[in-house]
Amino acid sequence: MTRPEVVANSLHHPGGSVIDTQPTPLNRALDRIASGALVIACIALVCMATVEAWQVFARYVLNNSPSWTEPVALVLMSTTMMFGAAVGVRANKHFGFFIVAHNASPPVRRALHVIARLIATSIGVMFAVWGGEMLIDAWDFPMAGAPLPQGIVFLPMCLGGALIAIFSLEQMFAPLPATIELVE
Amino acid sequence: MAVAILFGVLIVMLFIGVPVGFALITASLLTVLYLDLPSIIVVQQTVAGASAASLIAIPLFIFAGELMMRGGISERLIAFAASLVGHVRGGLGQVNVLASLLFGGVSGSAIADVSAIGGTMIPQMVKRGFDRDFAVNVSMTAALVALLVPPSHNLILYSASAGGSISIADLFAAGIIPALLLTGALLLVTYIIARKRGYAVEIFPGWFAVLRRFVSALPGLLLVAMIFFGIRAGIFTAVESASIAVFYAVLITTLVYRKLTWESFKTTCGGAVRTTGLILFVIGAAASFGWLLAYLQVPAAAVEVLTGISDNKYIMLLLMVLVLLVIGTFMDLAPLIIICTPIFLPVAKAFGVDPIHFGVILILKGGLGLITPPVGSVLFVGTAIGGISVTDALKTIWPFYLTALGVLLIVVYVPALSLWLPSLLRH
Repeated sequence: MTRPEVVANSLHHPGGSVIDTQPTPLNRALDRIASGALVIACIALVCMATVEAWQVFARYVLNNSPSWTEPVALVLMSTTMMFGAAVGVRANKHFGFFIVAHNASPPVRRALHVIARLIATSIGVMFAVWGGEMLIDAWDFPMAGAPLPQGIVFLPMCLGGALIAIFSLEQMFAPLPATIELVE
Repeated sequence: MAVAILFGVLIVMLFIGVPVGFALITASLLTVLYLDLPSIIVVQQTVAGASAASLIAIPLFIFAGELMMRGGISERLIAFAASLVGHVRGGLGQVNVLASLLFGGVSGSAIADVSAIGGTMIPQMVKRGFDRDFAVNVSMTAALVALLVPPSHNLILYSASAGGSISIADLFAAGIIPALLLTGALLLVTYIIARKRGYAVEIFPGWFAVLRRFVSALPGLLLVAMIFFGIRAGIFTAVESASIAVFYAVLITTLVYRKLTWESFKTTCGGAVRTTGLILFVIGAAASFGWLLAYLQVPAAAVEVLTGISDNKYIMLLLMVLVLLVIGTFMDLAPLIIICTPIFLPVAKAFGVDPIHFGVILILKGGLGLITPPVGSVLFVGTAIGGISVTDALKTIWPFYLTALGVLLIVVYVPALSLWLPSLLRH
């Protein structure tokens, strides 16, 4: 039985790039975009913790339970999810059953790699386009509980979808990943 | 036909290496197209699925766990466990099991557990003359305990996958006795194997040293108590407790343990974001899949088919455990919980199985999948840390595996082990 080489949370590169060959200017530009996406997702995570902690502080100390915390935290969670997922696509770090593809012959492995990235690209485009449509449709409606437009709920999906599409497209032409990263 | 498309496409996608989240969305999209429904439903359901308020607890608990893992708590918990059980036959093996239980209460994650405790304990065990396969197998099976003790994000995931109707406080309480049972069983099997292989024991450092190490580990241990009793007493919700856990972890690791630097904080955030992105993306993707399951009345059909096989609750539970064991061998825990809960929970309910009891069974069974090839995340991490092949680990894992399987069957057939504590604490 072959054991895939394991990389646990490798953070040697902030954007999670797994490109083994000499990076091109495009790779470097995408590196910066991926790093930016990771930073945005991290800020959203920290803000999410702060917003929820503020809810407890306001309820017990200020005796005033704010209604905006939950909708804002949900937008932040959506941001963490979509940007984190996009970074995961670039780092080849997603849940999956990769053993068959991993043990296939090189041409078959390359074909499966391209198919998987093509599917991810299509879904990224779908999220970006339909997420954008829903964002525009709902922009004029106020969000329940928070002074924000309802359309903002779809912004992370739209931007994250675009990032997933771009990173999947990049991965399609990248060398085959030598590692499988694992999460529970 | 639509059901065949839904499952057929999913299976094909998974086998050709399409990541689970994208495979779920593709299967849903093609089924929606076949049914001539508006395709935008898939995106709408994905947004809705990832917008349940209870899910906010998951990224925050993952974040808190990462902070504690990188902030020095694991070393202190190992030191405390070593002072308590290091002198028992099997020495460091026993320490490994107990430290995993304690650290599980901080991280709630088996991968974090095997990385943090196994990463420290396996090299130490090898250095003291323990066989490498023994050290790896003890670490991997002990890590499963983390899935059952609060704040396990897998229990929150189960609650969300069940539609948010199951109390997270009850699930947290339900996992404790099975977790203790698994710990006790693993301590026993470690003792037996250690005796057989003639492993050394550590010297008992004295009760003063035990007390000193307990005090050192106490700030970390208080986290789990704070979360558990805070939720139970209604002082804060599970989500709020998760945010408090994050701030508490930052304070403890910077001011008390003085190990968390700005650089390690950034690394921790990055790690938490990546894990969160993966899990939440699958949750969102599974929402459209779950919506289609309900639309096509798959759970009702599953109930009908399974009731046709037997009307005995315990035979049905055994059947479900076997099916889930097979699924668990090729599916990771989070997708397994998200995909299987909407299908199997209605069946369990139809047979009178309490949803809390079923949740504990599902998580424990899913845990066994984590140490079973071909898709065993804990297995891969544990063997990579120990520097042995999966094959070598599997040759001698069976006493530990059978012990965990035995505990699973006891938990399945003695519902009181899962239901007594939540019921007691509710009154």
